[in-house]
Amino acid sequence: MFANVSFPLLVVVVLAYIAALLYMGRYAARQTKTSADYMVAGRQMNAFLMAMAYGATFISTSAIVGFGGQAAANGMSLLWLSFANIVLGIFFAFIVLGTRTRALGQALDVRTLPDLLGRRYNSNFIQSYAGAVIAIMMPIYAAAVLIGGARFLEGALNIPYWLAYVITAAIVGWYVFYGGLKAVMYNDALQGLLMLAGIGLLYVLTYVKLGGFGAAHEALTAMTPLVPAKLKEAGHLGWTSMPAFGSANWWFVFSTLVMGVGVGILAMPTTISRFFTVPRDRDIYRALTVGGPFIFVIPGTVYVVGALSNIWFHRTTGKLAIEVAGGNVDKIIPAFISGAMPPVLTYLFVLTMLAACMSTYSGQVHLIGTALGYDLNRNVRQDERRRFFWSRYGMLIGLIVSMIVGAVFPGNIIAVATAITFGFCCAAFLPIYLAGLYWKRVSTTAATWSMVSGTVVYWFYMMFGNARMAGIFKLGPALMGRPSLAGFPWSVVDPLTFALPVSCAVLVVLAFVTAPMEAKHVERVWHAFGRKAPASSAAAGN
Amino acid sequence: MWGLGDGGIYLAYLGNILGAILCFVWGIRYWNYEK
Repeated sequence: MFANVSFPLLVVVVLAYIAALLYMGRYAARQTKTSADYMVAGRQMNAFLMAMAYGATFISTSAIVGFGGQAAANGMSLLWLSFANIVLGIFFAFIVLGTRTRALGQALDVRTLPDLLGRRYNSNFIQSYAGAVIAIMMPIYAAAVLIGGARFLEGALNIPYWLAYVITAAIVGWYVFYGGLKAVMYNDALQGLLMLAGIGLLYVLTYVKLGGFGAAHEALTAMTPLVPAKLKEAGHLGWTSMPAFGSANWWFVFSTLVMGVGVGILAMPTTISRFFTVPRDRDIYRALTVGGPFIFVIPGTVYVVGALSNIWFHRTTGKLAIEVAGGNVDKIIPAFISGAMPPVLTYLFVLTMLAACMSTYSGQVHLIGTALGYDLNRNVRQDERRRFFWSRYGMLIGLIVSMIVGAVFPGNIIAVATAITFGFCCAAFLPIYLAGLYWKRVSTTAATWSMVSGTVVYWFYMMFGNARMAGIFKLGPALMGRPSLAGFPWSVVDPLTFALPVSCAVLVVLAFVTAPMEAKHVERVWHAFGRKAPASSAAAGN
Repeated sequence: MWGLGDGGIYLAYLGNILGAILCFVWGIRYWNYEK
């Protein structure tokens, strides 16, 4: 993949990076003595670590390789996704959700999102069901991330794909097993810095290579007549134009990518759990200063670079990015970095991609571990020694499951697999999570049925409605004998478009027709929101 | 303007930059928030 660099030196750089990760894992393992250390990093992380961990977990290889490739195919309309990521995924999530999530986590000793929902609604079923949703859906997302990282390592080190796959999973598995969330967050900070450096340089150098900001955008606009006929039919109006309103391309960009991922992040358990790791609200506010710019640089700039890569490919090969990649959008960004960037910077980009993969994958397998070992394992929740043990071994099971899922996945899948998990978690968790933090009236029954209806509608439409998703799982097409239950535009609409309104409607209607929760319990929860941070931690942070 | 493309793309690009600035300014504003 990288013919322009010294192979032995590249191997040394990658090995040094891996050694740094393992060292951080060992350092974190020494500080990990309780299940709270393992699951919520002892609630003593600082704002910088939280911001970097949130950002690096949020932005994976999927965002860089998968969605960057989508931008190369669909154009800069994907900038609406990074806009949603900043405004909703960072600003709204930190201020509106993060502060109350942190407060409740600290007051009730909450460890995970399912734990938070279970305690807020006083329901073991909600905790177990939410844990099951995570245990089933998260391996799909984890597999997509692992595939992206392994493909990159395979190309960079010129090793067999299966070996790259096993190495990536084994390194992450080792440090998460021993160091828990502390290892995840320390390594996320390191990986986040690498990503900022790598992608920041990619952004600047792409404009330099293409003759500057204005010249690059004008050149891309001038390429509009070159849009392939198939994409034109789908509503593609050029890489610097929005897709035709209501077209297949518009629905994919806005319902699957912008809504599915942009809104979905609000209910993504991997990032929500970062709010449990800081002791005070001010840490969350301070983290905003890093989080917003981080998301602008990655993935905002990647989407710009993805679209602009068409100019470079066209100038050097006479073909568009999607044509050079043989139709597989996941190959576009690696091919562009390898061909267009100076050799010396390729080393940094290789680490950037590995960092993007491992930082997200570590958070995912840690989350699957806590879901299997803690949320779904009711017997161990009150037993410190056993919940520590089972969270660790649950993580190992999650790791293996994600590896199996990744092995059976088809290619060209990264962006859609990511959107599926984001969408599923959003339909299941977002209404009850938001209501749990802000609406006293909502009852356990309303929350339960909202979550169940959201998942059922999403699952049904994913299997039978959305042709692209149904094609991955193959159940719907096999039973129906056609790709989708309905024709255009319903066959391209994302399941979340129906699932989220249904889960919201069920929540609101049942909240009004069922008895509210016991006032004493609700007051206890609301009391937690108003509590000041412990004096010791406040003093420690100054 | 600046050859960025149509209005939708221009707004999205600008929105990204302003959003990042908003996060930064808000974080500084509540740097010492008492809770």
